[in-house]
Amino acid sequence: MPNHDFLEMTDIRKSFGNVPVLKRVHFHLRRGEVHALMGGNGAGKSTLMKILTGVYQKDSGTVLIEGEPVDLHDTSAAERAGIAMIFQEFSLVPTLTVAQNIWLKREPRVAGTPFINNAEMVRRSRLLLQELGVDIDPETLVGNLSVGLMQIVEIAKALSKKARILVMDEPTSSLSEAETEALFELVAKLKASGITIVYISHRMAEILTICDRVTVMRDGETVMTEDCAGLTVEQIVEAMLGAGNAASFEWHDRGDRLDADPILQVRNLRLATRINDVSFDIRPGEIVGLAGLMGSGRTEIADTIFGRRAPLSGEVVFDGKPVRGQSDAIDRGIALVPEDRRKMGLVLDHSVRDNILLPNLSRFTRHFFVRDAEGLQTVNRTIRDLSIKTDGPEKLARLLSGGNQQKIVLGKWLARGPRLLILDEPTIGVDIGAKSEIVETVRRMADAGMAVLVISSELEELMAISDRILVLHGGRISQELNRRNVASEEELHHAIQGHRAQQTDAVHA
Amino acid sequence: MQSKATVPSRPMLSMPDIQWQNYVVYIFFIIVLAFFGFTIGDSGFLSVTNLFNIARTTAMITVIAVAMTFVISAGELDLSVGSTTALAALVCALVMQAGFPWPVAVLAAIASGLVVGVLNGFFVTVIGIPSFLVTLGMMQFIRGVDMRVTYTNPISISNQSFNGLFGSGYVFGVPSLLIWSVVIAVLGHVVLKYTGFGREILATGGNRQAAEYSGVKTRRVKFYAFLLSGAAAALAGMLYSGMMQTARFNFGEGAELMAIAAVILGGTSLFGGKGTILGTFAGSLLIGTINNGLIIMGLDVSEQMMISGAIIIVAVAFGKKPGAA
Repeated sequence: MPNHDFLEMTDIRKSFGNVPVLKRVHFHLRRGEVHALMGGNGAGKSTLMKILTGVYQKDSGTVLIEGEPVDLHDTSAAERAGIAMIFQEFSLVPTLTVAQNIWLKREPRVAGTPFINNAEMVRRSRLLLQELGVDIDPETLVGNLSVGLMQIVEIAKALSKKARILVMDEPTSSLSEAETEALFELVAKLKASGITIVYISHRMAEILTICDRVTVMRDGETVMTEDCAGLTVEQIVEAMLGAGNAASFEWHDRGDRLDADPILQVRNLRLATRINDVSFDIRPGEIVGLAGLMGSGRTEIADTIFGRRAPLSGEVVFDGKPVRGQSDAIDRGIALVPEDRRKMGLVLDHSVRDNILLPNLSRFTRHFFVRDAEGLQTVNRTIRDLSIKTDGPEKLARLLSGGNQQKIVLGKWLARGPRLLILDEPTIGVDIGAKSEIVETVRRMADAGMAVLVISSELEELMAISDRILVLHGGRISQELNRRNVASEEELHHAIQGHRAQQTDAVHA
Repeated sequence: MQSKATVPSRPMLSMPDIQWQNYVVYIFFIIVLAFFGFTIGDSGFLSVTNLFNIARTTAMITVIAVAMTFVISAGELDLSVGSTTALAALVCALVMQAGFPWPVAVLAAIASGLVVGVLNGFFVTVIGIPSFLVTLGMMQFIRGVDMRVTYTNPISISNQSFNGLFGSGYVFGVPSLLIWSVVIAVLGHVVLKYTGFGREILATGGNRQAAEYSGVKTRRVKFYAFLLSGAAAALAGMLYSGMMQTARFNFGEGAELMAIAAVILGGTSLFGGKGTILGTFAGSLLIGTINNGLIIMGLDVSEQMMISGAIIIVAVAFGKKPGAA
């Protein structure tokens, strides 16, 4: 009797039409481990997980749980096999209570009647949530919960169905620091109780913190399965990109630009939300990072510079003159790549072309008519310059991967030749390959004189790209660090948490 | 380094690349024409007179539906267009009755439609009430105004220049109503497809927030859409009164629903972001052809309504993309 892993997916193959998406995938899970699944966009991670959760059917290969073949012909079969997916976009009904959501379609009944036993439903939910060690009232509406708590309700719902394998897809992408910590604790607790977790994330640091093993996919194949202990970020990146292709995601000292006059001056900004007194400058060609906790008001500062939000007091001066509203900001060369590309950055059901042209319409309009031929040149150049992977300019933005979608949002603004580019969380849900391309592009544009403000929760990213880093804490810029003097992510992390980092100098206060 | 860094993107769901859903209105149009051609072709259905007749009776709906395409593509709805047609017709007739020359009456009628458009636009974009509710109330309110101004009495229009231009006349043997609907459809097509305003309409309806962030003034765009809709309804009212040589408070009853049906049949998304005027034109003709054919077949009004209603549902069902909720 051979020793079987808890779950064994062996030699899985899957094609869509003539295109093989999974070529030869082996994916094994041990009971009670946290197993990271990594790979660039298009590597086949989501297809593999959709096969595991019964959304897609494999073309060939075997799936065994505890050595026994399992039937995954649809999602309810996968559910019966104890496999549950915690979705990136949550599948909860915001207008129902926590308890109603957890037991939706499986509500306990008053014995012998068709009526729902509400008290029992609440009691069971409370028990479940207590086991998870979270303090959520089962009778609150899901819509009133934070994103982090909603995710926990999702997990509770999965556990209520006796799930043994949880697939978490980018679970921290919209969580605050504290919520992320809480989630990690929960993951540890689940693991201790024998639940097996497949953890999909683009965040390397996270993976190495909480995962036991990692499997890397590339081009529809599993190229590596290793213990996390002793593994470095570089090794993982190399596996994801292929040997020799590992794009450098390291910092370049671009020198100081102290002699130039600032193009952006933010003066004593006070906003209705959280921001009390924020001042800083950015010079042409500079890349300035803005670090701070989620919800610390970073996005609101970006919106204010972009003219979408009027400050209670203080002002935003661009190129010597105050910014008056969004049109003024855009006309004078400010561009914003907003936080949520699907909601604010793209018209998903429109083509790549239409999306890139949208902020550039006035340039291509003469006598009311849009000159599409001229526009198309710009679109094609943008696609080429940013190496956006698309079948063509007419492909719907919805059908592109996250990284390529983000390149469209970036490209549509770069096509205007902005003098100040604000990037709000530019690489959330973007794979490492596209990520370094985006960083590369931004650096190139900055070298040509564009000023850049980067807001990010990923310290790795801020450390890689910024010349200076502003730390937002308690509604003001608590520290201004020259990147050259920040030795490690740790140090930056401490600064953001509000501690005074050691050995830092406040650059021109 | 750049191009090597990413793996080739995999195709999304293997959705077959058939785009026939986009052409469903044309397919249905051909099927319906063929059906009536075979069954009642020799009862005069295929005669030039009757085909012109179809074009004439659909002109009002076409004109309204063209503007409605803009409103719906911008993610809104305008239910007040039916009552506005009667309002404009009455204003026009009253101004002429008062002795003003017909061009003044035409301008007054257009102005009345614009006033309704301004009100709708104001409540939707400034106050922020959903357009369904605003225009539902407006539909009722304006219909009340229509009834009140003449105490439901019809006003006849004797100015033959007006009647000829707007409804009853012919140019080189082609009914002026047909010319009006073609001109409006072509204008609408060009504006929606080839101007910045058209792109902004579609972007606003496709994702308002993203359009805002891209610098589109979405409230202004929606406001203009309601103006267009009001003006088009006014024109439709004049076409109607020119054809009937009279103005009556109940003109355009149900026209808003016919127009919406034409727009949706034509492939425009009810949720905005995707719209085509050619489809709308075909959708309007399809509805007109069905109604005309059923009349020639000798069906009762009740039967006509049941059949045309059923055809609309079936056609929209066929036009639905698989998997779309």
